[in-house]
Amino acid sequence: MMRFLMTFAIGLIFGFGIILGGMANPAKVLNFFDVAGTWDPSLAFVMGGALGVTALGYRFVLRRPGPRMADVFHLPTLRSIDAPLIAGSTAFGVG
Amino acid sequence: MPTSRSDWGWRASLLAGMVSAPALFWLVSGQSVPVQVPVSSAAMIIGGLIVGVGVTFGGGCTSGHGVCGIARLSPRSIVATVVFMIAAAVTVYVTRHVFGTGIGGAL
Repeated sequence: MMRFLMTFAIGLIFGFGIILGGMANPAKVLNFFDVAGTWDPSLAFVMGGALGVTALGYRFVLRRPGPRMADVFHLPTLRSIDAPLIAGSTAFGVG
Repeated sequence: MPTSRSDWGWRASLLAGMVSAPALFWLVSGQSVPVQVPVSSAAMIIGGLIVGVGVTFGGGCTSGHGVCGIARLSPRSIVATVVFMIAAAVTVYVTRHVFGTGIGGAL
C-alpha cells in the first residue's frame, strides 16, 4: 500500500511539474520545434531544469546500497544503439 | 526492465497520480490547465498513436531518454534524444512551413 501511495505521489508531482512548466499545452511544445516560426524556448528550460535535478539526484541516490521500497535499483541495461532505437525515436519525434 | 504482471499495480497508481495532477493544479492556482491544440482532433489521434508506437520501439520518451537517460550519460539516450528532437523539428517545419498554413500546420 505504501508503495502505491508513493508511486501515486510521484505521478502527481511529475504531472504537476509538466503542467506548471506549460508542457501539458501542445501549442507550447510544438512551438519549441518551430524555430523558423513562432519559436518558444520553454521546453529547453523545463527539460534542462529536470535534467539538472535528475543528474544531481542520481549522484546521491545511486550511491546508496539500495532503494527503500524495492530490492534493487532497476536501471536500463541495454547498451546497443540499434535500429529499433533509431526508428522508434524518429517515430516519436514525428508523432 | 522486463514487464510482468506484478508491475501492473504501481504503473496504475503512477498513472492515477499523473491524471490527478490537473486537479492539484486547479486547487493550488484556481485556474484550469492552459491547453491550446493548434491541430485537428484527427491529427491528435494519429500523432498519439505514432508517439505510442515510437516510444515502445525506441524504449523511452523525453522523460525516459531525454531526462533520466541523459542524466546517467547513457549513449543510447543521448542518441535517441537527438534523433527525436530532429524528427520533431523536421515534422513541424514540413507541416507548418512547407505544406502548412503558417501557425496551425497541415495535419
